[in-house]
Amino acid sequence: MEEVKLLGVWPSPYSYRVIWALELKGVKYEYVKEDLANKSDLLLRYNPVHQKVPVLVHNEKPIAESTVILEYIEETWPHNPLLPTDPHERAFARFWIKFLDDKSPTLVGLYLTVGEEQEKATKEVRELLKIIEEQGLGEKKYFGGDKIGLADLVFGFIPVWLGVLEESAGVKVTKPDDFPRLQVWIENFRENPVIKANLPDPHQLLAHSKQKREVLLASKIA
Amino acid sequence: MEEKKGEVILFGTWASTFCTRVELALKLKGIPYEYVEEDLTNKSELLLSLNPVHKKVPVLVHNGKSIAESLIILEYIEECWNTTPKLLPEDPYQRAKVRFWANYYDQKIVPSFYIIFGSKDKEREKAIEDLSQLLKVFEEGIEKDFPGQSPFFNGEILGYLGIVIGSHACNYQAVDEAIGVVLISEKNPEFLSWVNALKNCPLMGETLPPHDKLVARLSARLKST
Repeated sequence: MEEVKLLGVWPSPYSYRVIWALELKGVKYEYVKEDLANKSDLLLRYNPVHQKVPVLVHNEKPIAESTVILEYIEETWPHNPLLPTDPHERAFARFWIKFLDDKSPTLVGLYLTVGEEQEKATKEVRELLKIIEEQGLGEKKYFGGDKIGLADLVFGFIPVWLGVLEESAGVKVTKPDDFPRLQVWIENFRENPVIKANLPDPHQLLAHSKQKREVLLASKIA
Repeated sequence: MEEKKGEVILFGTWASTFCTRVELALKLKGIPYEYVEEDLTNKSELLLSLNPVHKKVPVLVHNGKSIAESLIILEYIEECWNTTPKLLPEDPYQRAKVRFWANYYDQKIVPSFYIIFGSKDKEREKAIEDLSQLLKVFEEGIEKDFPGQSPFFNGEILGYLGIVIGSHACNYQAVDEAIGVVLISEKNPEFLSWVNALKNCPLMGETLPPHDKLVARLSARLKST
């Protein structure tokens, strides 16, 4: 009897990556909502090192760190593969997953800054998107190739969260004609039936994002 | 006899932990390769074309295609040369644990060394204490996740985690000598014993940068900061 639990928080792109992977593979799981301001004993027991979400628990075996979880899911439930079979293409997908995660301070910088600092952050994010479009996506339909894969789930940050960050920070990174290939990818991503059925409520996300920004900026100034 | 699987070239620098990792993996699997030493102050056009995104080493080129980022290269080597010795365990949960701790090491402990290196006096003392705390978490975590077995070796042979940690931590004496402080003390006896076991591995000894050369390089770098 398989028992799969996922500890997560609803606004988090890291939790959603795992939700999407499980859903795309049709793996049944129980979702456990965590409150990071009031961490459950369960979370502290399953992820004592980082005390963060997401945590996947498979038959009482906890796995933490979203990229580690994604590889575990791929290996444990190999049907509907989310990584290419060719080793070089797999390495390429992993490279871009790492790229986005390493650059998350830049992306979040957009949201955590004001004034001149924010202008600089906006420019940096534009440069990132350019690299992502030209070198990551290239001419492919998805980051991993012809089918949606782990890299796409990670880049799901862009369609779902980047706009929210922009709006709550009162900044616009892209103009309508910018990054046409990335725009097409965004459309494809959002139209995927599994993704479409598993998205955070955009209004709630925006409200949450705005509120969080106020708190974070206030604590920076203080 | 390894089947000929095409040309392998490694672009690296002699003092780099991340390059040592790749060399260890290639040697472990008996994969013949050509090594190209890069001058990071004057990067070759070739390197820039092979790793345009980060412009860093190591870069592995196999059959004309490039792979960057040391941990990603290790996974690639494991998948492409799917023979013994295996770098990673077979079981997905064991693999997850090994990857988790490799990530922890790179995200927490490696930067900690840089901080110690780049700081002075009180700040440095604090940074050394912080490292000790991080190593404690590492020690406890490894004990808990791999009870009664060394996750750094598969029997006598180096494994993925041994490569990741050893390529970095086995240089500790050179770092100690260059900085003039003890980086890893008896506050972390288990970690020290693991690192010393890794140092004793002949393959590690022949692949790590030469001690005196590394001390000289680190000392020079220290003087210039």
